[in-house]
Amino acid sequence: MKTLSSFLAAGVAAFLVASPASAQDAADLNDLEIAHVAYVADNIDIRYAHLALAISTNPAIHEFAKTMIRDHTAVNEQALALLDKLGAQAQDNFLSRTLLENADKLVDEMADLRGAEFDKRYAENELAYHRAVNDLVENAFIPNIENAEVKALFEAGLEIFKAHQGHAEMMVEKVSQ
Amino acid sequence: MSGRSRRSVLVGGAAAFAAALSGRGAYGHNGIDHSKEGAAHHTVTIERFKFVPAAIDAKVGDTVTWTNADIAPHTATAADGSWDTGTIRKGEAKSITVSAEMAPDYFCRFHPAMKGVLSVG
Repeated sequence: MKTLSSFLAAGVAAFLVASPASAQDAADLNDLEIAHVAYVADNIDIRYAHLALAISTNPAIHEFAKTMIRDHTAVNEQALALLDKLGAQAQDNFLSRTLLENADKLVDEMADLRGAEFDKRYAENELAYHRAVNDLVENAFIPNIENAEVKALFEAGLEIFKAHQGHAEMMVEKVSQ
Repeated sequence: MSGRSRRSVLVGGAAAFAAALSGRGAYGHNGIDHSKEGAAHHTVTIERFKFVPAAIDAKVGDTVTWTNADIAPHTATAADGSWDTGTIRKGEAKSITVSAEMAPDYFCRFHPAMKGVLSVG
């Protein structure tokens, strides 16, 4: 089980950042495709959080999950408001679809776990997921975003997600004790 | 207000300090009542997941206002849970009046790595 978990975690990270081919592809996305990936990535983390609220009985996990829902919802509201202002619509793309496919698998896997095993898996995935998405946002998206307002929103978002990554590190330590 | 406030602040501060030494109940009332005439107003901006400034020195009866410049909602909450601004959303501000019992160390309930100190002297 542990091997499978590690493999899946590594798989998500590898898909997002480690492979030069996919990094190159991610860097080729236009602003509206990048916005779509970010929106999907936000919603995936909200989905993981709802799963945690449904399964976990650990108060610290609940607090963390609620923060993920609160913050990712706030970022998405800003993103939608900006797109609306720009009169634009986010564009679906290969990376959004792959993120969703990976998330479906992870939700299926995590939904079978209970108790401390779930908490550990959820916290580890939050750390791996934020680390991977932050790398993607920082290294593939922000340098390539053309619109200044979109770029500013991604920079603000990255700050939030880096705080989440730090928070997830604390959670992993906490549930591993 | 500012013309007569300086003496009142000093008197209020002294009375509050004396009351603090003599007992908690008297302190709360005296401090708040006196300070209404010359309370200071402190502002803390929450930006980039930090309380700026991270440390403030306040007196009983002063007000402290936290303004959130981040997209993410935050709180200013005592480490011991004794006081809490509640949720402060983007662009919102929440204020509290400083009382004698307030624990100085505070953090953001949503993001526990964010920490600040509100010293009541």
